[in-house]
Formats: sequence, structure tokens, C-alpha cells
Amino acid sequence: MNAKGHIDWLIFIPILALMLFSISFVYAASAANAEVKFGDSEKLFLNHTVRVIIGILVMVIFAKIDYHRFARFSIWWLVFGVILLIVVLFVGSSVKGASRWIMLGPLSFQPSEFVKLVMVIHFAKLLSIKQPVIKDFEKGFFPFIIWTLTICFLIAAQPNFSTMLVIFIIAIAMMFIGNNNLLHILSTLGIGMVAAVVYFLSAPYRISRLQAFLGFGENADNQAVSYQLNQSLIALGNGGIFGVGIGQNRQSHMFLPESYGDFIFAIIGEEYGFVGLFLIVMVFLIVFWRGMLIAKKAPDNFGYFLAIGIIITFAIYVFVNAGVNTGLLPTTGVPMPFVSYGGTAVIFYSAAIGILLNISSQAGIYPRQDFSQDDDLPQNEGELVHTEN
Amino acid sequence: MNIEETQQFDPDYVRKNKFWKFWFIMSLITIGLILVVYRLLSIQVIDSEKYKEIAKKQHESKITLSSQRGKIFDRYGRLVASNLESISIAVDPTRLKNPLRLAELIQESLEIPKERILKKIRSAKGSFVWLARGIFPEKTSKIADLGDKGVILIKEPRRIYHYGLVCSQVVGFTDIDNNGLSGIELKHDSILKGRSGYMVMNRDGLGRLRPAADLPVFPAVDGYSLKLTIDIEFQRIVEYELMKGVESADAEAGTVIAIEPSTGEILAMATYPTYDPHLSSGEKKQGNMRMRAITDTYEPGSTFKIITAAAAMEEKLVKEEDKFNGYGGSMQFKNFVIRDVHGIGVVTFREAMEHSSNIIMSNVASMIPDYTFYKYLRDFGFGIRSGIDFPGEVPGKLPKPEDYNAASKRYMGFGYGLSVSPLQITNAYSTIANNGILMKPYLVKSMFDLEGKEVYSRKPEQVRRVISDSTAKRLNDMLKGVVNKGTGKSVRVDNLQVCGKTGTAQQIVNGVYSKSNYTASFAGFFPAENPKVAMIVVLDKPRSSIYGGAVAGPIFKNIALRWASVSDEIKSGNLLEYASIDTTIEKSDNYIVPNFIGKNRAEALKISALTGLNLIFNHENDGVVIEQSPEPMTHIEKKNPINIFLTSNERKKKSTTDYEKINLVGVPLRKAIAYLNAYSIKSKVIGRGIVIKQRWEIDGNKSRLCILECN
Repeated sequence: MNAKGHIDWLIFIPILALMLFSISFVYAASAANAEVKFGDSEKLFLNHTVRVIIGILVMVIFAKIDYHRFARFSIWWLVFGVILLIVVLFVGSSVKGASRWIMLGPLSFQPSEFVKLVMVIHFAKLLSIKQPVIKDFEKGFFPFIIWTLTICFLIAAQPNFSTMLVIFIIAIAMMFIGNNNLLHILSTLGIGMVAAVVYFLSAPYRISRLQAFLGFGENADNQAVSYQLNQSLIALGNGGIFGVGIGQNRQSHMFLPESYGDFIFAIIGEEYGFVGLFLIVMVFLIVFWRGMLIAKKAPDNFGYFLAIGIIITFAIYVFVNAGVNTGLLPTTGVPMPFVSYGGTAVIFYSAAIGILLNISSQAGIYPRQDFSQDDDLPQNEGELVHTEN
Repeated sequence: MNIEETQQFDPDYVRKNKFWKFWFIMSLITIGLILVVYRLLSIQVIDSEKYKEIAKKQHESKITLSSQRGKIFDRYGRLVASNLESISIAVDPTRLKNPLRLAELIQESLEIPKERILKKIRSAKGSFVWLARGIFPEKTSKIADLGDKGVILIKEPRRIYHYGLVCSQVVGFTDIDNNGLSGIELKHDSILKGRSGYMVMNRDGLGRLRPAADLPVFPAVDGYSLKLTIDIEFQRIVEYELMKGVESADAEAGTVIAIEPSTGEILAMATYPTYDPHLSSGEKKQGNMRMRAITDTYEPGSTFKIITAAAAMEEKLVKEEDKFNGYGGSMQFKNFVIRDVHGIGVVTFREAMEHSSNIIMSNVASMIPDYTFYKYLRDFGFGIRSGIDFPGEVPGKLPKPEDYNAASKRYMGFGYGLSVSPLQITNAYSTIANNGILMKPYLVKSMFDLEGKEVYSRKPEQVRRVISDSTAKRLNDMLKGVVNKGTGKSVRVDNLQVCGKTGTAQQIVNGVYSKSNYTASFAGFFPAENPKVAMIVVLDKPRSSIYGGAVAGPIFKNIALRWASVSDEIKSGNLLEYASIDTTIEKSDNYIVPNFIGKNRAEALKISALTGLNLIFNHENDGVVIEQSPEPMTHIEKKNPINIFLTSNERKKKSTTDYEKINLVGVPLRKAIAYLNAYSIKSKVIGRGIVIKQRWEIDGNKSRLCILECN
């Protein structure tokens, strides 16, 4: 279990590549905006570059830290995270009417990003130690749902619907994979759905966004939202199969809002075309697939659930962001991990991948010869397609 | 949970048996990503062209590259019309933050009432509305500094006429978009305008444009400049004399056209009243825009007699010394009577012409066969358009021989029963001056591009020989006699032999010859030897005197007099004729001073704004201009200011004792009276000229009276 192997290069290298490429993506997508907003076309690019460098360092450092060390005080990290969520409601700086950020001098810090990570760690720990009583409502279900509801409620209060929804889905997915009582999960899901609908309908802008997505209703919000989606589609369509070329995109020139953030996927589509986006989706799929293998090979249940939580978090983010950019899902503000200009989020993503890499180094899937000598290999493969016993 | 279960619990149970749940979740997400790829295929591969088209539409913007309108020069290369960079102000009402502030600034710097601006902004539909156009850049600096994103400042070339009112009817004017609307500007609009081009530029989401090397550019072609046949200095003299003449004859209007007989070049052409080409279309008086010399017809009366004489002499029907009976001024026909103003008895044909006998000319006309008579009239250019390169020419009405009745030829013989334009009469006199050859009249001498390279040059064009050389010389001699001994005495000029003929014609009002409405004219040419100018002066409805010799003659004479002094200079120096035309440097500093007298402060400012001249007022309040320096119609350089002396509304309200502080001693009488009138002070004048003494009295109505004594 503690036998140190290599980290999984098939995760490290694609993620490192995405991070390095994101510097180029962000530069192309942010130059025009930065010029208009700050009078310096390289400002956002330089900010992002610094964060990517820090992110890579964080990833390497976390890859070296034995992930078991996170289990010990996970609850206190989560308590700290919840406190931050409360604090941000009062002192948070407001962006577009929502208090999501805590300013620490020149750095802005989004507590929900931190909570997401520590929740995944704590849930992984809880799932691993609660396995014997996992089907029990009081001992196996209650601890999870209390945390989930507390966090979701606080994030909803910011208000930040998309992050709340994503965290809720991550929590439910982890509980589902962790073999919680399906009845408990389904009833939670049902209640959660009702709550989500009520919450969703409480803000007119969300209704109009949905209307815009479904293609009916005429109002300014609707037009603004349709505008963003339309511009995103124009960017993608203009890119065609091979794209218009590096740095040649036009849609980031004040046409597509959030061109370097939540809608960078579309800008990449314009510059690199279908081929470029297909490659990015494939890279993420490789990472997810390798992540599943790492989870399966993790030395213990904590590592298993931790790997699952991390993989699911990224998978949901990638799907939602790509879905929004292509008009498959209603417009909502979710970034593309490692690709979007993400501020401090990059650091947390890197930390999460670092943890995953540490698990991989303890999973014994590297070096390859170990893998081939593993007697369990045929059985493992069988299990990958295995259904319920 | 019991102990057995706990003991049976396998820690790896969930990983071994429930791994499918993870697999299930990841499959869902994978399916989601496959859907994303499918969407990408449909957007980026299948519908790509549709989106590329939309993208092109929003990323590219076609900019019109405007061509520079050609300039207009006079025959000696003096700049008459050119372009000035001006700024036009528009707003996007949807983005305008502070309309009131903008309106106040516009009121302050452009003297447009802010209520009007606000009304324009409020009533605007859409996102673009013009507020003011063609403003001098220095006046818009405050508005540019406002920094309101809703304010749109556009650079536009603006037509500027360096001689202002002078030549305005010939040159014409353009609308705010620089389309020619009248005169030469209209006639040669497409040549002056050139061809605008376009350029495709990259546009960003804020509407900002950036040029791109790979996008198409279709350059603009600048318009050609024109060189007119007009001599602008001569034109100025003509207009000044015409203005004076029309005013003193109390005529409704007057027109002059002067042609160089040997070439057909129009040297000057004017109508009074005229208009300022810098005023906007709405401010110009419609009637004043007409170049009456070309667009209006009238019955020529006695000036036409020389045509009858030309036909009869060329046909050898009469000679100068043939005797004719004037019947004492009245001749009875079956159903009509022909009268002369001054009855004469038996005189020679030459004397009949000198005394302008209607009876004798009518008898001479009746001697000429119908078709022959008609042929000569036609050959002189009556009843058809001359083809001059100016818009709005009319052919006039010349009856055909088959339509003649017993009186037709007799009346036409002295200029009734047909209508002609002043241009046609001038052409006919020019033909006589040019030894019998009719030349085609024209206004544009040459055209050249912006580099000064000539692209077109007009050569004088003979239309036909109308009469023989010798007949022309004899007619020339007869016209000399008219001026020296006959009705044209008022036109005699020392050291310059003028040939010409007076004309006084009754106008037809409601189908009847009027006893009060006349057309007074004088047509002729000078000098008699080798004539340089053929000219006509026509006054419409003069009131001080109806006779051409009395009202049109003096105008003709003054013009001839001043031509003689100016032309000497030209003849001796001949400098300007061959001076190359400098098209690269704007000669915009040469202005003719406009007339500000009688205008109020706002009007004066408006006129100065149009020409870019600086005004210096004697005080800061409103008032009426009573004096200006330099005087109207004189030359000034743009950098030199014009001093304007205004009456003061404020001072009007002050106590009467202040009146006595007004010192008018040394002021010309005319100005002194204007000054007093502006204050509503009655005046009594002793003598004429300069005021030498001034005193105050109280008259019977207890109002103040200023007694002005002049030397």
C-alpha cells in the first residue's frame, strides 16, 4: 500500500499539456478584453501565466504528499470551508450581484472552490469509514446529507446556482458510488429537485435564461442570454473543421462575453476548429479513463473514493461547460477546468490532480512491468465491464 | 446492524461489487461528451458555412472611402470653390448619457438653441441622428472633450466658396453630402465628385474598426477640378455694378452676361438679387438661385433691331444711307398702329437705328422675305438652345414663317412677338463683334486632376458664319453711332469705344402689353476695334425709369469703365494667364468680405462661421451692425479680423443724457444716420458728406432730435 511507484504519466502529461496550452488559449481569448478593460492586452494573460506556474508547482507538491494525510483533519477543513462560506456572505465582494469572492489583498479567493475540494476529501473519508453502516439512515446517510445541505444552502445564498447544483450532483454521485441506500439517495434527489426548482424560479434571470434556452419568451435578459449563446455558436461555426488559426479568432473581440472564462471552449473552437475541440475532449476522456483505473487500483477505500470524487468533479465540469458552449445545456457560469482563465480555481484544480497523482503513485499501476506481472489483471478487466453480482 | 454482519463485512466489498456504479456514472458523462462532439460536428462541420456567413457579417464592415470633390478655379487660376475639413455632430440617443449638457454645449459653441437640439434627440427613432453638420473643427473641441459615448463626431469635407456671394449663381452649391444642386456644381457634378470607393475593415463587438491586410480595398477616385472661363475679378465688378444699378433703378431683378466674342467664353454672368452659397438650402431664397441670363426669356424690344438690320443689309435690301420715312412717330396699319417714342420724319437707315425707330425697322423687316427673315433669326441662335454647359437653358420662342400673320414680321422687326434669353441676345451681338461668326458659348475651359494634370481642354467652337465680314463691320459702325449720337449716349466712355443698343420692352401681363412693367436692357460690346467683351444688361421692371438707356445703360457703362482699367493690368502683365495652378496648397486665405451691415449679432456670427472669418465686436451684447471694417466686397486674408460695430440694446435703455455722449463728428453721414436710426433717434440733416457738427434739440413732440451738419 505504501509501496511508492511512479505517478500516472497518462494523467500528468495531458493535464500539464492542457495547462500550458491554456496560456496560449487565454492570451488569444483575453487580449481584446484586457485591452478594453485595463488598457493592457497582456494583463489577463500574465495573471493566468503566473497562476499556471503556481498551479504546476502545487500539483507537483500535492503529488508528493501522501494522500492519507488529508483524511485525518478532513472534517476541520470542511468546517473551515463552511465558515468561509458564511464569511463570504457578509464580506464578499460582489460580482454581477453575487457575493462569491473574498479579497485577500491583490488575490481574490472563491470559498466555494475550496469547499468543493475539501468536501470531496471529507466525503471520501466518510464513505471509507462508514462502509459497514452505509445502508443505515442515521449513521450511513445522515452525516452526508447534513453536509451537503449546509454547503448547498450557503452557496445558494450567495447566490450561485450553478456551483450549488454541481456540488449537489458531486455529493449525490459520490454517495451513489459509495453504496449509500438507493432509497435515501432517490428521496434526497426528489426533495433536492423540488428545492432546486423553487430556488431556480425565485430569480427572474434564471427563468429568462431557461426561456432563452428553450427558445421562447421575449425580454432583455432573454436576448442577452441568447446573444451569448449565439455568439458562442458563431465562434464555433466560424472555426469550422480546422479553425481560423492561432490568435486569429474574432469572437473574443468584444463579441462573445466571458470569452476567456466560461466561453473559452468556443474561442478554442474558432481558432483550432472541430479538430482542436475533439482533441481536448479526447484528452479529458483519457484522463477520466485513467482516473477510473487509478480508483480501481487505489490501495484503500479512502483512496478509491477520493479518486472517484476528483474524477467526477472534473467530469461534471467538463461536460457542463462543453454543453453550455454548444447550446446543449442552458447557459450557466461553469468554467472549463485547466483551460478557462480561472483565477484561484486553477490552484485547487491542480491540488486535486496532485492528490489523484499521489493515489496513482500508490496504486501500483506503474511501472508497466509491475502491471503485466499482476495476477489480477484479467480479473480487473472483467470487473470493468462487470455488472451487479 | 448486528455483530455477525460486521464480522462478515469485507472492506473491499464496495470496490469489488459496486464498481459498476462508478462505471455507470462515468458512462453517463461519456455519453454526454459524445453528445457534445455530435453537436460540434453539426455546428462546426455541417452548418459551418451558415455561421461563417453570420461571422463575416458581424466581423467585417464596409467603409465608404469618399472621394475629394474637385475644386473650381476662374480663368486665371484663382480658387473659387474648394473643400474644408469640417466636423459633423450626431448622437446615438440610446447611448447618450447627458443630453442636456450636450445641448447646452452646442448652444454655447454653435449658437443653436438647446431646445431644438433636445427636441431632435428626443424625437429620434433608432440609434443615429444628426444634430449639426459641417462645423469648423475648432468649434467642436468642447463637444469632443465631453467624452459622452453617445456623441458621434464625423469628419466631413465641406464645400467652401472663397468669393462668397460673388459668382454664386454660376458656381452653384452643393447639399450637405456634397452633391451638386445648382450651377456648375450641378452640371458637372459627376466630374467634380469623382467616384467613391470602399474598404472592408475588421470590426469588434464595440463597433471599433481596424484595417486588415487581407480584406478588399477599392480606392476612391477623386473628382476633377474645373477651370472656368469666368474672370472672377471682372465678375465681382459686374455683380457690384449690377447690384448698385438694380437698387438705384428700383428694379425687381437684373441680369448681366458677358462673353468673349472671339471664343464664346463666358467672362461673367450674374443675376441680382443673389444668395450666399454657404447658407443651408432652406435659408436660400428659391427665386434668387436662378441664373436669369440663361433660364429666363423676355421680349427683347429694340436691342433686336440690329438683327433685322443684319438680315436686311446682308441680303443687300438696305444700305446705311437709304432714306426711310418715320411718319412722325405713328404709322397706321389695317388693324394695328406702330408708334415711336420720339417721332421722326425722313431719315437715313443709320439715323433710324440711332434713334431706335420702330416704324422704320418694322418697314425694313417687311421688305425681307419670310423664310429669309426666319433663317437669319435662326442662324443668330434664336429659338434654339445654344448648348452652353449650364443647367436650365431655355430655347425661347421664335415663330415659324408658316405661322406668320400680317403683323408678325413687322413686330419682330423691332423685337416683339418672340421671346429670347439674354444669352441669345449676347450671342447675337457677339457674332457681330466677331465679324459675323457665331461661337458656341461655354463656361468650363478645362478640367484637370488633383496633381494638376490637364485631362480635358475646351477649344473655342464655331457654330456658323451668320453674316459676312463686311456686313458685320458695317453693323459695328452703326452700333458705334447709337452710342455716340443716339439713344445709347449714356454708355459713352472716355478712351473706350463702346458699341451697343438700348432696349425698352413692354412686358405682357395677363395677355396684354403692360403700361407699367417693362424690361430695360442694353446690349453691346467693347472696344469697337477687336472687341473683347460682348455683354447685355437686363433689368426686370425698373421703377425709377423704364428706358434701357437710362437704367441699363449706366450699369453697362460702369462695367465697361472698370473693365478698361482692370484689363489694362491684365494686358500689360499677362501674368495670371500663364501662372500654373497650384492645387496642392489651399489658397483659402483670400476672402471677399461679406456684408454684415443691418444684420444682428447672431446673423453676423453665422455668416462668419460659414466662411471662417474672425469678427471683433465693439461690445459683448446683441445689436445691429452699423459699420464694418473692411467694407463689404473687398478682399481680406482669413487671418485678419473684421471689426464690427454694433448698436447696443443695453444702451438703449439708459437715460437720455447718455445720448449726448454719442459723438458722430467725423463719421460719414450715411453711417451716422444708420446709427441714430438703430437707437430710434430722430435726426435732421444739413448738407451732405461727413458730419462736421452735431447738436441736440427737443422737437415739438418732446422727443430728442439730433441735428447733423455736414460739409
